[in-house]
Amino acid sequence: MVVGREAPGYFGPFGGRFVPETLIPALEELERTYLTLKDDPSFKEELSLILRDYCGRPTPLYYAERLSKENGRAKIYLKREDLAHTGAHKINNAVGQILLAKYMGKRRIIAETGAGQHGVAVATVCAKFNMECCIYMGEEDIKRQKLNVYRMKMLGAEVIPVSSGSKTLKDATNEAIRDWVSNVDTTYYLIGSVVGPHPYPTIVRDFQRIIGEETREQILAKEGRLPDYIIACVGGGSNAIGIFHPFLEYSQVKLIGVEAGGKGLTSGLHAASLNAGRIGVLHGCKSYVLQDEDGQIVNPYSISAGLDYPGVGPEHAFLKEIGRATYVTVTDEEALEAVMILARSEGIIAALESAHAVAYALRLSKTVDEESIVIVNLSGRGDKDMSTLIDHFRMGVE
Amino acid sequence: MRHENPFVKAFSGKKALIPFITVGYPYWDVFERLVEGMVQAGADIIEIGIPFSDPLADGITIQKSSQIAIEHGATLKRALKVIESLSPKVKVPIVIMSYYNPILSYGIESFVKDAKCAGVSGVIIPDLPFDEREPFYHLCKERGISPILMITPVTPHERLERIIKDADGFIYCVSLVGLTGDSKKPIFQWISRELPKIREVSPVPIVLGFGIDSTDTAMRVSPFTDGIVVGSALIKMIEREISLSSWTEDDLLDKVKNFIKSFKKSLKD
Repeated sequence: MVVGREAPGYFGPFGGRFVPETLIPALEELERTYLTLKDDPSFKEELSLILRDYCGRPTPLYYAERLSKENGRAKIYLKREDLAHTGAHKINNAVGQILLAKYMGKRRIIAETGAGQHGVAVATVCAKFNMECCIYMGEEDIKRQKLNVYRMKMLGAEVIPVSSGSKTLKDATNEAIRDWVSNVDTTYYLIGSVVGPHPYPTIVRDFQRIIGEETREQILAKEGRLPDYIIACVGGGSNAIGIFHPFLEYSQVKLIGVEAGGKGLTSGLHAASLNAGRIGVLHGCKSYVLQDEDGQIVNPYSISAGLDYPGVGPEHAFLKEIGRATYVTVTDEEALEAVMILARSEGIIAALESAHAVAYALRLSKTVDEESIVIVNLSGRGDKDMSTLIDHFRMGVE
Repeated sequence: MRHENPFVKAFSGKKALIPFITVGYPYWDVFERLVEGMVQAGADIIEIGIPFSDPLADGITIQKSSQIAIEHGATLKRALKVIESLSPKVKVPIVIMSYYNPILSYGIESFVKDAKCAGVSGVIIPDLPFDEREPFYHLCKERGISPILMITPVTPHERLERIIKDADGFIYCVSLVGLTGDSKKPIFQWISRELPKIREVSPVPIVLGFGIDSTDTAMRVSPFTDGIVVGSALIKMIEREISLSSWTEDDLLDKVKNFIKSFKKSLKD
């Protein structure tokens, strides 16, 4: 299987660098820095020490026995990114990029956040590395992810509410990019997913690849063979590409990305860019984009703030096009049900994002052969979603 | 320069004044009158913004006018229709400013064909930098529409040379490190030091834009440039006028004409 690029910064026809001219020198500088550092032994050493001692890696690969036996035929393993420091896989990328910023001598860090998990991860590493931190977050997301807003503030970050458009991740990203255009000489833009202009999709993927690398070793140690399926939720797609990427070369391992089906694809209320979007350019890269017939970006919808994004990483678009990965959708209802099933069978409260992947695993498990091995990337924990969950399940404390 | 270059007249013996206005802003019927009025008042090129829902290079003023235009039904298709009816009347080059996604969605082949038919002379696409010029800019050039490339105060020298070599129509020089309508002033030091050198080697005129918010600013940059773009300042003025309950179309038209005349005057060196 050829998983390459036709031109630098491209994954097949997807990717590129569609940004204002002002940002081009900064992107080139970032690319140069990254290419110099990524194989540098002292950089690698510093990164892996932080990942181990600060983030708690490797995260476990856990056989969810009750979940598996009560819900179908497959053996379902959970890659426990929810156990990483700050409660999601986002920290892997934040740590990697903050080191790049440090080497580049930038002291001011900006980032966008949807669910707030990336914002928290960035605020965390900024505290650790003594950097100034501004997080752009849509007003809608601030409302539904309050806990993470408090965490960011506690960590010393400035959280800037964004009131344009749908007031969610798309709009927060617009504002972060505008900030970067205006302050490009002093500021490092720490993008949180495998989206944006080249080299971000590659950099973020490389920093998230550790999820898949660990998973491969762990499943070989436990089962003596590679899994049949790997399932991960896809908003921008960083946790998915992180766990998929080391398995691309093993064609027997089926890779399934789960997009947010919201209230169903026919309702128009969803965030399923790969399933229902068209090829377009958003936030600096060419990929699948939710847009109307005039090329205006459509406001996405998902109960899960981290998946509520109208674009998707260009490498996912490429994997879809060449058929190496398939992309499915799971609705709000199914995701909510999956949170509950997982909580009651394994004692794990998953983030609503990750619950989309769990829900699909449960669906799949009813159709596969006995003893099939399914690995779900449990990308984050659900504490941040408690108010949404309590509202939904009407479990309020009277 | 090629014989048929539509921009020659705009720059010959004078500094070009290029007002920017979002298509259909503030209302569709007023918009066409405003464009005609601006040309009567001395505008040398008209830059028409086709709104995009997520305009990354635009400050708050043009974000708002774009949003309003979209709400009033502005689409690329409708914009090209309006330009088609305007272009024979105004007799100055019309350039389009938009983002790449609406054009991709329209189809680049169809866009170039329809834009040419409508009388569009150039395109400015802030999120389509020089490196991504294939295939769209190439196609534009082939069909006689100038892809207007941008340079900025942070563009490295070697890159600048490559951009200038590929330039067509004119070059759009961003006067500051920021967004349209940015309140930080143009970087005069850089402009006065670098623009003369750039103009010397450039085969096409250099136009300054972003942050030219007053006739004073225009006057200060004028000696170093072949023309200026005034966008946010114009939109802001219109926005202010129509916020008054007593505004009339005729009054607005007068105000806009006077605005153009005063900027035109500030460009005399």
